[in-house]
Amino acid sequence: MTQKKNKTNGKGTIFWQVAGVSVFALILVLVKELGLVSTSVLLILQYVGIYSILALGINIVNGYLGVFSLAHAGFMAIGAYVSATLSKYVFMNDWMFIISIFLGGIAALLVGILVAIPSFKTKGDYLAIITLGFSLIIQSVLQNANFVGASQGLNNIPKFTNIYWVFGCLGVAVILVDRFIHSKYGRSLKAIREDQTASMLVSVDVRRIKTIAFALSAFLIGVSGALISHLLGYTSPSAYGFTNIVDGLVMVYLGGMGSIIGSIFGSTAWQLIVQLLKNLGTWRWVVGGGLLVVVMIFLPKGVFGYMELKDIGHKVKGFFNGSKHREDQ
Amino acid sequence: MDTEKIISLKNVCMYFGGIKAIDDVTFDIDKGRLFGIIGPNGAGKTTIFNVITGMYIPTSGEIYYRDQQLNRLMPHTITGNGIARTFQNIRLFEDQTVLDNLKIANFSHTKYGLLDVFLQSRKFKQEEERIEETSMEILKFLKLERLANKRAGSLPYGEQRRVEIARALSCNPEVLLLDEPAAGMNPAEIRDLNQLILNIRDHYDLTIMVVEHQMRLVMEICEEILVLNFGKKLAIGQPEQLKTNPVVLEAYLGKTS
Amino acid sequence: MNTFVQQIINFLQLGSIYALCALSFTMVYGVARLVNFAHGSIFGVSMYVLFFASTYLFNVIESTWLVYVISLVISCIVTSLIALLLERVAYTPLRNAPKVAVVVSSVGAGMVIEYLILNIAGSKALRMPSLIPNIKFDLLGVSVPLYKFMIIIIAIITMVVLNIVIKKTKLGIAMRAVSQDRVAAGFMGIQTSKVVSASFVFGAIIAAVAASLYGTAYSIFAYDVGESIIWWSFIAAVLGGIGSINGAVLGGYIIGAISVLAPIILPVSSYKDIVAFAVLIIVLLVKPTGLLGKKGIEKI
Repeated sequence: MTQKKNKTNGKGTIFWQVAGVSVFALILVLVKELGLVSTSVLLILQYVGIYSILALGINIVNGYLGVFSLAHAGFMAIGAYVSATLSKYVFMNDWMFIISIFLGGIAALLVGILVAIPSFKTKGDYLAIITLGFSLIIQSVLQNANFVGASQGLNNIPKFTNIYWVFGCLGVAVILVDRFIHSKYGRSLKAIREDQTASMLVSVDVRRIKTIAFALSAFLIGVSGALISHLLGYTSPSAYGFTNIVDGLVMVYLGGMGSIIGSIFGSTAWQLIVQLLKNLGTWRWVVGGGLLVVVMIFLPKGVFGYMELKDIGHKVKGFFNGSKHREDQ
Repeated sequence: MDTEKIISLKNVCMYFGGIKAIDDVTFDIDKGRLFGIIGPNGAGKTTIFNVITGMYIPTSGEIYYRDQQLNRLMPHTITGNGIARTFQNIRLFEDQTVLDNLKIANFSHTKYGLLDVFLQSRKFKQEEERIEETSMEILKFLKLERLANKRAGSLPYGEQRRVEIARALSCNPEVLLLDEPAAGMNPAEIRDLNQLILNIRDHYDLTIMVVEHQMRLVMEICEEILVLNFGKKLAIGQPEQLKTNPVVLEAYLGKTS
Repeated sequence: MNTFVQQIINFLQLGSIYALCALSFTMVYGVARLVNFAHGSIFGVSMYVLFFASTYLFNVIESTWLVYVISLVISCIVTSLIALLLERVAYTPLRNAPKVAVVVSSVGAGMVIEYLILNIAGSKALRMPSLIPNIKFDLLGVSVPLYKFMIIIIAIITMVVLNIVIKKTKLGIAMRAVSQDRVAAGFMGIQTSKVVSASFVFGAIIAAVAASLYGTAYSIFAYDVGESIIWWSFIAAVLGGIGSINGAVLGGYIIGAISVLAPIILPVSSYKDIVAFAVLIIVLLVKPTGLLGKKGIEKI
């Protein structure tokens, strides 16, 4: 009985997924081709999309796995530099952009596997410091590496990024993460977050799962780096320091840990706050910082902490059907 | 067949600094046995479970599961190979549902890879269905199916204990280690638990090791009992033999002769 | 030989500043188990208060020493008040929230303070007046300014005093108890929330002292002065072992040593960060709870 229900549910969701994606694609085409919005809004939309991918990547390790990692600046830098170099010298046509993006992600992924190793033994703030060290080492190396322009960074990167690439990548990222989370891998991530020892003793290969989580996380973050460098047309080491680290954390924790919709919401909200408050000049950081404090006081798990839209739907339904259910029992 | 050894400890020692948690312990367990370990607090009972499941690497000695030496294996490998356990102080994944707790324990024998997940292959769907089915079966057997979608941490103590047993069974084990399953239970509940343990053994064809304080549980259902004191093996034998064993009586009742 | 003595003094000076910063950071970190990202801004506040107070006082008072002492006291008071306010607003309401919520909240609070400074005092870099008389000493044939000695001496005095307070006084004992087990400490009749407030005040006072030394040593500063200080303090505190006071001091001096040594040994001075982090990562891989941190055995 339950199974049958699940199956129909499955087909239903696929229908809604396809429908949602097509509607969304249509909106994108309208927005871009018909010039429904100004270029500055278009730019903000692209930022939102790119940072959503970043937040999704961070969320796999920091949210679902529950490890306080600060490695994202490093992964993003690797993705940005590798892809930018490739499309400057090797894949110079814009349809080849996909290859640069992919390889940028893969480069970050390979490094991500290495960064996973300290997480086997070290945890908590100690691991936070190790991953912070990783990010700052990458930044330092880039600052000193003359073949990628040292502290000047890379310029004249072809501006391949457009709204289709951004939301295409985001769509793929959402699907990948959603499927990953609803598998034995995703279940194991949550188990490790709750109790690593107990996970081991119910046969979960903790090291493998952590490695996979860091790898997937690094891949997505690398992709976001690739997109941002081809959006701006330049990239430099200073973009991958403390500010970047804090920005990433804020988006993830504001939107909510362990949640796909939360990642997207968090990056959208943060980008909007930053853009809308632009008129305030430097006062916007005072207001933005204050907002963070207020949100955390009232929603300490972030807006969508450990929840997706459908969970909220269930909650609302449950609220209205509450009395009925109790009678059933 | 009935004398096949499934777990063997040979001269196993486990020292923590100067403390000898287990000191030169040797014993074998026959397949299908219900094997009890008793002893006063700090006798090293749980430590035996910890060295068998790979949580601690023994200072010296050898541990065998059939012919396979376990000393250097990782806990998840050992559990995946067929030795599952429960914990003295319950360690469920409290924020997950009961069903997910069981599904998590299917990790080692779920046969799909990352590619199957990303492509939602037929294999992935079949395996997920199979896991769901076997998990529900186990829940049914333990009369927990109505709790499947409840958050594990929200259950009362007694039910959490049963969920933990259910989760251990989801690892598809051959040997089940129960660490003080009767802790905090009243005599009536212990009687039910005894029956449950016997049922589980017969239904899943398991070898079961029980660490227990409750003499009543151990004496009633165990076929062979190991008595520990200060990490040392004091005696091993059937419950009837131990009741009259002077060494055991001395350790337990402080009788001097 | 000359350069050697000079380098030793540079190391002691820089190490002392780092050690004090790490110590001030670890007060809140150790007691409340809160990574207080707003602490850098607290440091910034004390720099600015010290700057304005001393600039004003030099018009009124002639003695440099007196100016230093008075402006330091003012800076300690103002900084403590702001730290207490910060605790009330951004931390106390989140006492039972997940740890990361407190981290984000402290990031937000830090932004608020830092950019308030920017908006009030401007983004221009300022020069701290010299708070210690400009006298030079001769040490083993090297001429060393007095302020370098004073930095080292003041830092050491602060550390010794703090150690006595933590080890001997009732408040110090309560702090250590809360640091080890907050719930149990509460059951023992300790008012944990007051102890946590005290740790914020301690942290602020030490930060104010550290800021006065930093200002003396480097004089030029701007609104974001606390930013990198906070990260290095965090790193030093973790390197030494979370919650360990001696560990924070040790961590501070190690970071100081690396900062002084790396440019001498390495061809490019900007490799210093890489070395510092490489050392850090290696130490934590070998000893996952920091140099002086205690290893907890997990009971199963």
